[in-house]
Amino acid sequence: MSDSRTYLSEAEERRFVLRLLEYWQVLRGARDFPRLADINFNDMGHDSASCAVLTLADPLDETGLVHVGLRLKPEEWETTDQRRLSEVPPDSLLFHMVTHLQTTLQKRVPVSMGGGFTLYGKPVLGRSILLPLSDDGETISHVLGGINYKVVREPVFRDTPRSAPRVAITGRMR
Amino acid sequence: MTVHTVYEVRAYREDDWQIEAVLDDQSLAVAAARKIESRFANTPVVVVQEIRDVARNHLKSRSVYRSEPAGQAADGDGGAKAPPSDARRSAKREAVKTGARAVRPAAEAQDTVCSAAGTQLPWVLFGLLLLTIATYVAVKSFSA
Repeated sequence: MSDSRTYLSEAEERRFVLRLLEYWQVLRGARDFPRLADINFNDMGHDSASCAVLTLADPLDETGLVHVGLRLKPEEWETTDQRRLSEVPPDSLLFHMVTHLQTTLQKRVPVSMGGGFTLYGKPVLGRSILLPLSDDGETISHVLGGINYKVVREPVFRDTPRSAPRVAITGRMR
Repeated sequence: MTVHTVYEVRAYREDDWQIEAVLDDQSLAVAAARKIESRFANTPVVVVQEIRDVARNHLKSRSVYRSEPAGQAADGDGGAKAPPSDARRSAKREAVKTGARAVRPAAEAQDTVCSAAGTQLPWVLFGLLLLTIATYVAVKSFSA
């Protein structure tokens, strides 16, 4: 189904998460979700190294990793074969990529989050996206994820609470 | 205080507003909405900002981007207004799902302050207490 034209080049779209989101939407077509078989990593060029595919399991910790891009392989791992989510080291890119997995499964749509975190002690600014896949069109069976980052001088933490919205509470209870 | 801000990209498909993606960055969300617009020329798209105050159980939502569907400007029969009203129902359903009192239309650029049910409860309890006391006094005085 897919061919290389379905994946945008960096010249066409410079933002990594939007390239992935566009690819997911093209593969999906009129369906709710694309299938895992629709994903062709060869189409994605260099971006495939920043992507991973999860095979969902219950409990979620038992979720397997069927594809881990070269850039996402944790330093501690010699191989990515037969790995599970519970084994992902907490300071790795893969860990930061899956932090909003629950939200993705709950919303049943692609979810992209960004922010600062530390990667093996170095402060980085990253953005990830998780895109649900379904083999039967109903149940989310897999999740395609991607993350990219850049090293920054000063730490920017994702969990820093934002200032409260300045809104007047004018709504009357009905 | 924990405040989460997300941007939902919603497209009007199959007679309903459907969430296409959730992002935490407004410019990315608007860019994603524009991509949907460019692929499906007649599909109305909105980007709804949702600010959720977890501690207060407040949800504020407003649209930060709204596409101009082809034909809406030329169409004067009001038919093109159907999607926004559906967006209102969709936003209401969403609010019910999340337990918040969000009811304002997602596609309308109006601020909405939503809060969880429960602030009226103390007044109801106070009223019941007064009623009980009044009944007790009345019964006492009658028996005396």
